[in-house]
Amino acid sequence: MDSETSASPLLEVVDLYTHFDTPRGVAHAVDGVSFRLERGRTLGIVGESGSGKSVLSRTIIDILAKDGSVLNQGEVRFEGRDLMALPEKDMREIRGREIAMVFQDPMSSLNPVKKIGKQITEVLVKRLGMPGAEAKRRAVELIESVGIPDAAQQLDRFPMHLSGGMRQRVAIAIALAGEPKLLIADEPTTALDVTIQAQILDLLRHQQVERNMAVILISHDLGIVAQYTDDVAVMYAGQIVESCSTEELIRRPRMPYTEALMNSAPNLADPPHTRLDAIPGLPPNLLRVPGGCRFAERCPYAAEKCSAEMPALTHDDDPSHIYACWYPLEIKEAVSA
Amino acid sequence: MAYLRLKTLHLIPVFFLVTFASFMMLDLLPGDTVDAILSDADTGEIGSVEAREALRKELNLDKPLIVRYALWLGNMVQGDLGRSYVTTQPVTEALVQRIPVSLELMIMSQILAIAMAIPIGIYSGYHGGSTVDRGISAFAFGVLSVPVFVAGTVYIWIFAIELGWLPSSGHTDFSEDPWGNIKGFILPALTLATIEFPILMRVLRVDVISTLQEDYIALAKSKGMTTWYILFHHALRPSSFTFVTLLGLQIGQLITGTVVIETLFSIPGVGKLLIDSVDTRDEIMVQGVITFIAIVYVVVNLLVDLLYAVLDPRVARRA
Repeated sequence: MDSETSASPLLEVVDLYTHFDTPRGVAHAVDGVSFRLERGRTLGIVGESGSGKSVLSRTIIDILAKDGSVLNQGEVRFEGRDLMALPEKDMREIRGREIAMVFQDPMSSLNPVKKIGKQITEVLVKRLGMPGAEAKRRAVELIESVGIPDAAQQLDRFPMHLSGGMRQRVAIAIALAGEPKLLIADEPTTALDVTIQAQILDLLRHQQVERNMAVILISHDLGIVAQYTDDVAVMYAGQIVESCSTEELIRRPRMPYTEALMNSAPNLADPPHTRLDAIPGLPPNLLRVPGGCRFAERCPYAAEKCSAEMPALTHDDDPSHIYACWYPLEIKEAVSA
Repeated sequence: MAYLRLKTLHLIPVFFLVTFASFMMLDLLPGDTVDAILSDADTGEIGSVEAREALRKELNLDKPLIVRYALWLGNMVQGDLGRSYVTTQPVTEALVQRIPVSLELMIMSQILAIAMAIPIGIYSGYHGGSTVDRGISAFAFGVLSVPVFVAGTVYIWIFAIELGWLPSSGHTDFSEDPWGNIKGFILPALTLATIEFPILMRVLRVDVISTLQEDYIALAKSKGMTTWYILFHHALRPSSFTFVTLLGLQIGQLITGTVVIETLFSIPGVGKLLIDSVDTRDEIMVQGVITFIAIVYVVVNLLVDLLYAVLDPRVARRA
């Protein structure tokens, strides 16, 4: 890459592999992923369920099981330090303070038997070393800042007393408590009502701008990613298959999978009862990934070469737009015209 | 508190069922109570017909079962459980003497069992599937198959006979010699705890394993909390439901255990009283002890139900 000369980015993932050693074989959940994220920017990672997005995020923050079933390789460079090489004790210092996470389902990501106040203050007390009374005051501020009314009263309530949207706001408040430089939001609105989704995403964006925080927004919904991110990486079967600025991706997708994702998202401009183009077939079994392009089986443009040989990430005249495809979209159109 | 009232109401039928069933079963025992009381151990004489009939009348044994139960129940609610057929000591008085002894034994054994089960269960669950975990499981199953009197005998042999650290039997009053009192209870309590903790440990282990899969554990990790803190502050409480339920249910087993243990270690507790009363066919005493045991069982399980609400605020809300 020709960006070697620029100051080190906030996060740089280099050739990252996360494999699970299961009784049925090795699952290639993350298979050679590289990307970089600058301070204060938002990166969207988009792909179907099972494409390895969540495993990728959990690998970055290193919270996968430590029982030997997880095989990691590659680098996760955060402010120049390789997190993969850090001992657990130092990695714990990173979690919560430098990198925080918001999970998909706020119904299950908050501890049901702990008061909301305690779930926020334990970060402040344990990680920032704040005295109890000050932590409580700060927790009230945090609850206010994520738009929950009657903040002071919320401290003694349990998650069960709150709606899904409110719980996700609490989860965001917990993530913000350690004032992280990077927030990983793993499908933060997937479990919520559509009407709440925009509120939560707006809140995330607002907090990001205010705190100059970088965000990785993981979603299966290209529509959300298009609206809320600066750059996008499209993941398929454990690999990044296309990556560029969000604007560019929407305008000029090169990888047929990206196109398929776009077509499968509902569009408000469509007349009612327009058929949704769901992507046919299923993502490949991560225990037995095909040898060639992993999307070939489901790709309408696939040729013989596609299932024989895996395409490497490449680019045309714009080096920031990379894709992995033997027959990228526009070139094909040029040929057929 | 509606939850508490509802739970207490559930216990009333349980209480009637237990006392009536035990009344019936005692009635079904072969032999005549009057014979047992009047017969002379040396000569085998069973007394005159008049004396027998007089005694039968006095003890209301001539009345039908249901009437006797009603009479007993009427006295019981006034705190009168009758007088021993054998020693004429009031049953309540005998119980009041024995209860503290058994209670101390039970509480000590429960504390020991919990103190063993929680750390080992959590450790085993956290390292689920590891060699150590499998070793602990194998050991637990081994211990589980040891009968309580064998465990007790082995402990007596090791700690009382070989090492001579602790007394093998007997009981000292707490007021006389507090340390002697506690020393006397260590081996019996340890014996009871030994047979009880493997199951407790196993259920906690399974629940810890499933709790550790929860998203809120991943969130706690992502906050940078230490493993120790996550296990004890985030995982233990949500994992302890089966554990606590079992703790309540095992009270029944524990009482059976105390009967054996109190006999083995010559401890004058309720269990010993029960065995002795059965031996002498002191039915009214047996009935009193069973009533006490039923009350303990019922109250402990009420406490367990209440504990659910403390452990998980969602329980109280649902009820």
